[in-house]
Amino acid sequence: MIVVRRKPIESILAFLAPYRKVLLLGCGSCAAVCFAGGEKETEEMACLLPVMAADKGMDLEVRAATCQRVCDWEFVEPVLAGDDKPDAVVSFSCGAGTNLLADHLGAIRVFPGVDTLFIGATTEHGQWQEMCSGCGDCVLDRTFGICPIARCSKSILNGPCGGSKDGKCEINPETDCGWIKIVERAQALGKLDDLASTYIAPKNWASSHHGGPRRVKREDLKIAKP
Amino acid sequence: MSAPAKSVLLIDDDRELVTAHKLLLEEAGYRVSAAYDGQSGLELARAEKPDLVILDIIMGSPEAGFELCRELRADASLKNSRLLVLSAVGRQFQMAFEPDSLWLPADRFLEKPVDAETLMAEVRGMLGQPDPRPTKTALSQEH
Amino acid sequence: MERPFPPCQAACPVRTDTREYVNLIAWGRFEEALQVIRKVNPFPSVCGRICQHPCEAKCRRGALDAAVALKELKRFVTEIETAPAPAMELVPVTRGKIAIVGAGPSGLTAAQDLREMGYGVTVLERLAHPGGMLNLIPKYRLPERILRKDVEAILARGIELKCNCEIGRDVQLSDLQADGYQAIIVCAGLSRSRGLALPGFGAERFVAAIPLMMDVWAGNPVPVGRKALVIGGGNVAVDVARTLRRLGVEQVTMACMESHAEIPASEEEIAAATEEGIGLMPSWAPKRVLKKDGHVAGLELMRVTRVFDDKKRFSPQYDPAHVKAVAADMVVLTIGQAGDTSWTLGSPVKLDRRGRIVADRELHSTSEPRVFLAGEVLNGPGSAIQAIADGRRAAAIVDQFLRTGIMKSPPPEDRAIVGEFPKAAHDKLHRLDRMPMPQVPGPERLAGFHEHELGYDQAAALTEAGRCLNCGSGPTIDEVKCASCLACFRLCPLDGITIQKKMVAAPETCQACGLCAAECPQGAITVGHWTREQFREQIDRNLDVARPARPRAAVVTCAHAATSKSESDAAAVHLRVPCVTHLAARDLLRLIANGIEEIRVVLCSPAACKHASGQQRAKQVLTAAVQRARAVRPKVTIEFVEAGQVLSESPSVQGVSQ
Repeated sequence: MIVVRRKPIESILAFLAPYRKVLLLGCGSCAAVCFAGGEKETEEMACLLPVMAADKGMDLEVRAATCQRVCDWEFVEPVLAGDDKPDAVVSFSCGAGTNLLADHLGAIRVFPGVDTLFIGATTEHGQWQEMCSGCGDCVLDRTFGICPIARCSKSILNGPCGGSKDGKCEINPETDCGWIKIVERAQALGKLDDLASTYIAPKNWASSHHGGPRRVKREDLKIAKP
Repeated sequence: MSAPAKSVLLIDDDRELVTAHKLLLEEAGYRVSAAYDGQSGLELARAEKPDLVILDIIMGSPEAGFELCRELRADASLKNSRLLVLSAVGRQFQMAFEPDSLWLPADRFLEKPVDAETLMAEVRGMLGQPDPRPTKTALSQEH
Repeated sequence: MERPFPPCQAACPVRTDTREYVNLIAWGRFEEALQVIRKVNPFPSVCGRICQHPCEAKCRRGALDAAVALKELKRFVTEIETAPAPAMELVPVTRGKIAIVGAGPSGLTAAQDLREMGYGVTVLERLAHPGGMLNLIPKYRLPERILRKDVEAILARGIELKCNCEIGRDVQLSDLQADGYQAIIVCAGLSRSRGLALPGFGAERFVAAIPLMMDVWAGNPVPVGRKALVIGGGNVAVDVARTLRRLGVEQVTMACMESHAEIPASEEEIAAATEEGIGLMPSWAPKRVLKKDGHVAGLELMRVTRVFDDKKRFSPQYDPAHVKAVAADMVVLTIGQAGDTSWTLGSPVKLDRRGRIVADRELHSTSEPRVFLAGEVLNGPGSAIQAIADGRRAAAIVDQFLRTGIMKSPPPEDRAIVGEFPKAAHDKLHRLDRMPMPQVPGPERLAGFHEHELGYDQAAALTEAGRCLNCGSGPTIDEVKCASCLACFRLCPLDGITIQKKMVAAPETCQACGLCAAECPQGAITVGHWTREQFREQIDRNLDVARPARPRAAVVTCAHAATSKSESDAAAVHLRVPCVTHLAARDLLRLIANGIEEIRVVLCSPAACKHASGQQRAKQVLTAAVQRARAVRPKVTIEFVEAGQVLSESPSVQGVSQ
């Protein structure tokens, strides 16, 4: 999932200074699953923000709503239908949803309620770890399923680097060395020789964000206009 | 103190049947008189004003029988008389009859033959109950 | 969760799965369609001719263009030539015996049901032949052989029939009770015409409907005049009127109390009568029979100003001053029917003060234990299909009672009915005319009692059955599997899917095209009975059958194009889908993986296709699937072929079942 983390409440409040009617929009997908921006969290925000606002002498009217996910407009549209439009929306979805909102909403300002961090998986309840950086040209076939770009701090393609110490990364001693994990995996599978003889050539980073904002277009799925 | 016995008038050209029914009714405590054709039946009815008239239809032409029924009902002096038609006209013409306010303004239509038990139950039912018979005949009154 | 009833099925007193048999007809599976009907209706051939089709009144197509001709389609399948049925294995008698009085539709239905449950059943019939009131339906509407076919099929289950046996005359109720019958169901119907004690009663040729129609049935000479007046406005009155025309009466007029708008006879019957030159005089009631030399010379009628009061109760009012004399030499009374209760005389079955049998209409019981009623004798006048349903109810109650000692009526159904078509979807549907019923022209019909409705041929039946909207067929969306990807929502040509937390389908809108099911990435959707697994089985089975040969071509035919001439390649694998919109990418890939290189999809022309907008999408998706497959099998091709002319004879389409 896309792992997001809620921004501090003070920052959110700061965005809202010029606005009176605010909608807090939660996302029922990734943001909910990492307990940062689902229905529960947005409702909590809806409780606390007005209190904080009042303390600061701000006149703030807050409403919360959550949809299945924000990155498909059809789920959001019904929430924003009706005459009672907010002056601003704080989106608790990942940046994808927030961007889509901005693309659709004209006069209504859109703010992020979370910081979008990474593509990750759950390692333990309440703990998520970055697993994928969306490079667009996957090398996991050669690294036994462990990503050297996302899980090695230096994104080295043929590691480990010289700073790896006791299985930990020299940049952050709490971080496991990604390349040691790859080596251990290869050993467990009896494929250490394969790993040793595999050389991953420098990537063409055009497939990642370095090539500009990316797009996927499936002509076979395109719905013809009637 | 007992009320005066209820009276029944039998109108039927079948003398044997009339005798049999008369016996049955008298045994049950009713006062019974009889007539064997339509005209004398009508006259007797007007004279005696019976509580119940048991009327056959086919005593000549069935048309006359039905007409007699209508005349009896239309007669103001007989407004307290109940009317029971007991006839084989249905069987004969392969039709089922039911009282109606226009053409067969009786309280009840029974098909012959009928057994003693059924007849007596009917008579008791009619003479023992308040009068709910139809009050309008379209031909004689306003709509 | 149970799908809602389609309105046709909900309206049918026996809950015929009308949608199912119509769809089976549309797909050329006629035998199976007949089985669906037979499952609940022991009189399929009779109903295919004379049912009053409450289903058609509720058919949602009616709001669009015209109701689907459900009765005509039923007739069509009952007429197909079938291989002679293998001798039926009789259900052994394992329970007691039951007597049924009356071999009409309610009696024979109760008889069949109880026989199938293992009871011994004896039916006593007053007349010389079974069938009850169905016998009096004129032969131009219900030919003798049709009635006989259904009745014989029922009796063939091992039911004993005793004709010329009238209860109250030839046998008493007490005899039956003494004879060891565990229950007696009286289905004696309303066998007598109502009479009217009009002035002038007793004239020659002033007759009642039932004795007249009995004579016609028996082939007895019926004295008719040249000008007849039929009193009554119901379907029976029309039957009498049209019969008199065929007996040579030159001028036949129906006079009834009801106004034109209130006439109880069906529109179809009135139209037929009018075509046959029968006059109609609404809002007139008889006042007096005019006689000459003891014969009918005419009828004096009086104006009816009102039939029903504002509470819809029967409460006629007349204007006796407004009269009209009509010349006639025959008058037939068709003003209703009554039961003959003389059999109750001296029996423990009681009558009430108005001469009606004391009965519990819910439980079908009389004042005497183990003696029951069913059909019109219990409920008053009704249609054949209502009588059939009532016989069934009585049988269920009797069985329940005999097994448990408890009298209980079947619980009421608790199933929703598909709602009305939303206007937005409505506007997107093609208008398709109802197939007309070929008829003998009006004047030619009067030559005799031959049928004048000739029935649909195969082409007409397939086309008409194709008009069915598949009400309530789906889709069902598995909430657990649904990933809320929105594909079904965006694809549905009728906007039939709404977004709630997950996808929710509106059963009122769906026409079962199957597009959503074909494209759902989670396989979470089912439409109608069509499932992925079934089609996979069909594919596998057909490939198996071909072995050891490995066919190179596959022909997938849309069921609605089933009997077209287009495809006759014997070496190809032949498959059937309800519509091309049901065909999914993974189906094609399965074929390709098994060596198929040429795929031909036979479908209806877009003008004829019920799912025209879906067809477009299906072609796009299937073509893309084949493109993808070319990475592995570069030579694979797909071609979409429009179905040719529909054959008038049924080709062999067996062997390709779902």
